[in-house]
Amino acid sequence: MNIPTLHTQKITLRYGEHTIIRDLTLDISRPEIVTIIGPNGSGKSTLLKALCRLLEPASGAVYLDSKDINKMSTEEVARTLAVMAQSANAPGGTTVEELVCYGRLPYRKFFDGLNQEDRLAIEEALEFTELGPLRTRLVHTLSGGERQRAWLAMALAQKPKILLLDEPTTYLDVHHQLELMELVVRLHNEMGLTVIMVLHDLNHAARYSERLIALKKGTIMADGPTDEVFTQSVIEELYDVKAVIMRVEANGTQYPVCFPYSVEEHD
Amino acid sequence: MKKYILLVFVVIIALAGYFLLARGQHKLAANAAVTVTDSTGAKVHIPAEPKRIVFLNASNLEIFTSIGGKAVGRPTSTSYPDDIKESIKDIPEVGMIHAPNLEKIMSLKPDLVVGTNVPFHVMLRKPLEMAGVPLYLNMINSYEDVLKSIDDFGRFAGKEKEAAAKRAQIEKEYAALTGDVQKGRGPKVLIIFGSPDSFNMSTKKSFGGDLAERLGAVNIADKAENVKDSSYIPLSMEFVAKENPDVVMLITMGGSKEILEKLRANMRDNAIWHDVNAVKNNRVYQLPPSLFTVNPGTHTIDAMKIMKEYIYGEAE
Amino acid sequence: MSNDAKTKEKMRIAVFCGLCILLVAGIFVSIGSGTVSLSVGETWAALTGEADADTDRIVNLIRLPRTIVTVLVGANLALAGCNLQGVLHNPLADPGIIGVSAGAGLFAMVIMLLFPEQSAMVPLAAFVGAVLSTGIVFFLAWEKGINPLRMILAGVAVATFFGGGMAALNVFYSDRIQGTVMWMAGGFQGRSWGHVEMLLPYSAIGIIGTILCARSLNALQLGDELAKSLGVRVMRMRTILIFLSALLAAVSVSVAGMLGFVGLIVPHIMRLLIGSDHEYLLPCAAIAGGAVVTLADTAARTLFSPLEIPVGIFMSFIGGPFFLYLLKRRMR
Repeated sequence: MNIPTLHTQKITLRYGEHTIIRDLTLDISRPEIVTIIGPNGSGKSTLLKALCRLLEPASGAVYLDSKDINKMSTEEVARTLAVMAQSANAPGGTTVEELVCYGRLPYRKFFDGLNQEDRLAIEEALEFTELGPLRTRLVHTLSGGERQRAWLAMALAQKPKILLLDEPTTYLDVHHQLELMELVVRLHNEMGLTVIMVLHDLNHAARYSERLIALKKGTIMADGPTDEVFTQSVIEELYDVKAVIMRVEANGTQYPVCFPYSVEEHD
Repeated sequence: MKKYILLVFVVIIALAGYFLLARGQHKLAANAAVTVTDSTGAKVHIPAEPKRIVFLNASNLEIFTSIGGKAVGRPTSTSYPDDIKESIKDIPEVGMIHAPNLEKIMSLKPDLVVGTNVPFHVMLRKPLEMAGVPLYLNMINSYEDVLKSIDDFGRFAGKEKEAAAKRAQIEKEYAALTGDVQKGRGPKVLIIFGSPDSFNMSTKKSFGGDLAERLGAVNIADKAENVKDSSYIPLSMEFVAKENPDVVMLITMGGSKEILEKLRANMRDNAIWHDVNAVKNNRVYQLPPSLFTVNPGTHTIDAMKIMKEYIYGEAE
Repeated sequence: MSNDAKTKEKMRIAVFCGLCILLVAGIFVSIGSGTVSLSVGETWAALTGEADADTDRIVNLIRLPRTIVTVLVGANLALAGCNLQGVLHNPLADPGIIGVSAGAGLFAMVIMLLFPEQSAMVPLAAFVGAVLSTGIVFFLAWEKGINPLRMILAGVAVATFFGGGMAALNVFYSDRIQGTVMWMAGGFQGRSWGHVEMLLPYSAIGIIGTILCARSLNALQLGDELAKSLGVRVMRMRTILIFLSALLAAVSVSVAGMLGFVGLIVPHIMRLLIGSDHEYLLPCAAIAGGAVVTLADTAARTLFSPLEIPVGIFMSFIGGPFFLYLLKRRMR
């Protein structure tokens, strides 16, 4: 299986007159779990949108496997990239299985029914997210955590090589947050997916990512393995706070943890 | 399942296509002997002596019946003059003027259908043609049109003699009525036509305006600029105040009493009216709906008599 | 509504079959009703060319084309409404919202009032008008693709503008306005083979095209971003779907006048019965639309024979309360 590469070349991203990101170059060329962190307004979501073709750069280009992503067909892109919805609405009356079925859209021609490959992909997606027993339930009758897994299953049915998640844990409680994150790590470990996330929670970001990209005011402040980025000086400057970085031991493993304790401006 | 759905649709559309192509056009009536030109300029092929004529509007039927014609189908209407009501009572109805029922018409097996220049009659031409039935559209917009219609219908009914007699009678009475007036030397008149949405002034292109002109009245509406070929132009109080008519006559759509009330109320309340001669001298008259809302046909003389009375203020 | 998917599937099939039966029944009733009532056998005989000359004339010249027109117009308007509600994410969308009725109405009125002797051209003029007004709405709504909100606003603006034109005509030609009322209200009197000819090609394109896009329409319901990430070309699909809706609506309004209710409410009723999966919803809405309009037209012309009530009025009175009833049931 060839490794997908995502490369942005000096991209500038704007909404109307407002420039969010200027001349940003980024390379994601190994299957890894990457998380983009940064304060509000730094451009995290904007960058993620550009990476999954939801926002076209005003200048520069995004390359997926060395091809300009905005020049590729949407179906082609959808077979390699999948985005997990943050809080989408399924039309009332959609079952879990039907929702996951949508994930096969990039592969189905006009009036095809589901073929063998489609069914297999759907089964695998349902199995991985442990939604098998819930497959005939209507999506809006599920709990928050179950629903999030359903949207994840839909993304998985696309059989992507790269999965993007925009603040997937925002509306979940602690239990379901951990559950989802564990699922994501399993995805990476078992299926070799590249995972690119935007996370609000710093500790989740540190714990579950191999690489961190710190974005401040539209530029990359730091980019590298978690240990190198998740440091006091970086965090303090990134968020304009004073913080301590500690290591917490639980269950025989050491987890990096950040504790911001007061605000302070940095230039 | 989905494939079946698509199949259903293809079948439906194919069926429709089949019926369309397989059914050819029907031929024209076998006994089309004469070609006449109707009021819209269309050339119509009609039988030399139509035996079964269906009428779509009241005024055409009125003329036809009063010269002795016997129609086999008539429109539903409340505007028939008393003298023909009895004789047409038993003729089957085919619908109101703007809603003729094609099936009903066809069930009467007509060899000629007569209507007037309104959209729903014009739209019947093609379907009737496909059934081999000619459609003759006759408009009556003026006194001359009444006379012409009498002639034409006389031929249709095979009652040329009666038609000629009727025409002669009307012309005689017309001469008597108009003998003592001079065109354009009479009083200034304004004819207001009231509809639910607006008040309008009738010009000489309308039937009422045509009669007024023949009676020698000076219709202030005819002096308006930008009139072109309109039969009615919107009522402008400024214009009325400037022209200051001596007589005002009112017609309302459908003979509606509500609209009449609205008009009268307007004249009471709107101060501009109070300076108009007609209002000052109390010479505002309502024209009887039965003669002026629908075309009076052979009763045109009666209509003219009443109008002359109002214009010149004479009794009889 | 049960959580069980199998029940849902059964329900869908049941509804679809029920609608097909209703449509076929409606067609036979329509062809069999009128000044002369025909039994099913007589109707069939007439359709296959085995009846006497009079019945043959009535069926093949009057009732058959009229019925085909009602079926197609009903299907077209229901599909157009369904499409637009899905694409514009607006449950109140109906074909009028994109300006079709405004243009058709104005141009038809111009012919009927100023050139009544050309009234045979009304469908064509109405179609031109519909295309023109829809084109203006498209143009105003374009922003690198159709912007749904702008489209709705543009539709309102265009409808108001053209409506003003119609009101003006009303004032200047108030003596002739009566002749146009029946057309404006929507109806099928005197509709014949000429109208079928006009309807067929556009209806075929519109119906088949729309059904093929059902899956994309489903994806669009998830929101633009998700749809895009699923590989749907959002802008292109939206434009195509609205264009198809415009086509279906334009040709239908040109032939039948401004028939309301069908495009707005039939899709909703169908959604209450079989859900929002457009792969089922679209075909069912089309068939239901055809059946509803055909039955309504049959009732409208037989209940007070020989007077024909305009179908649009008839359907509004029956349909509105029926929809409220369905809604109430769903709310429980």
